[in-house]
Amino acid sequence: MITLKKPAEAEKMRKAGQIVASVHKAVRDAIKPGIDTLTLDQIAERVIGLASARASFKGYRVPGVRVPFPSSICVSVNDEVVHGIPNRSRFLDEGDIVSIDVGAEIEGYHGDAACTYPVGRISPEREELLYVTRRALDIGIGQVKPGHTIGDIGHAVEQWVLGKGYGLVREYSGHGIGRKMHEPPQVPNYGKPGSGLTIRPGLTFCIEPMVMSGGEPVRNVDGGWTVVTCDGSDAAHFEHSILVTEDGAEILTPWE
Amino acid sequence: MSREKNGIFPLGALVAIKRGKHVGSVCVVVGNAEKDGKILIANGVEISAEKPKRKGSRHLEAGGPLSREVADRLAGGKKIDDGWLREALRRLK
Repeated sequence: MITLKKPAEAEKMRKAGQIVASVHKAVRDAIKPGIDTLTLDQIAERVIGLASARASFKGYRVPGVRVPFPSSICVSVNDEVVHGIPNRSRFLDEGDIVSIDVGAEIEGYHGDAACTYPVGRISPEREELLYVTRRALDIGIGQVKPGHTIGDIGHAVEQWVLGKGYGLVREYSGHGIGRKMHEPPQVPNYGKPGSGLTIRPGLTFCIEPMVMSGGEPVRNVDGGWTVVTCDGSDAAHFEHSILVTEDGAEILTPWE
Repeated sequence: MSREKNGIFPLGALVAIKRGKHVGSVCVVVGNAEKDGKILIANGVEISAEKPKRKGSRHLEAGGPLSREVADRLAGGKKIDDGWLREALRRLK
């Protein structure tokens, strides 16, 4: 069911969003060549625990995947698009790009945000990919105004990304968020202007463009969780949780 | 964490109806109503593909196999009729 958050609920979501942002800061500060991705997960878990919050992703189940998500954050490297599972044997190298996706729940409300970070110095191609994806998120957020529709968001994101010659993940989308991590509506990164749900104050959802430098097809690995590009091309992912206000969008997860 | 498009009820998924007039019937997901989160289902017998039924997720049981041919046909923007759907379901079962 689509719910419009009352002021008290919005405040709880801000709280969850701040915790997510704190996790991003701690993990971002730790990212360097040679670190393993499980250590990043442990850093995140510590920050979440110290905030008396719960990691939204840990234990999360989806149909079709036997194993619940085992970690507190998703760590996806290079051609891994989303839902990478932290691993003691997976080390970051100079020049990699790593997407960190964080979810936290406090007082019954969730926050969710993702960012793709460079590991040391990255190639111009990877810099461009990060720029295009980050800008896609900003462009999508720019469409969040009362009276606009979910389709306006997807259309704007798609036009930007495809116009730059990149690919978009179509099998996965943004989503409503609140008392559950995934609520209606779905927020695809493509769409027709004026289509879908009309955006109203109180609505909370995540916009999360997932962009690849090569072909659009993706597949699942790691028992069904991790999504990778079929052609091995790089992928980037940026996400914010958003509260719709009378004026537009309030970002609930300020990880910048 | 991104959500798989159509989540628990992707296009082509086999579902069983838990409540309502057609309780117990097995159908396939033929669409999702984005505005209210309802799922559109049909089986070409009691529920026509041309007039799919709208059900809330709570009234459907998921976990069945996925019909790739239904999913691919719908994702490609092609319509399905009852005869085609019955055949596709027969092959799936």
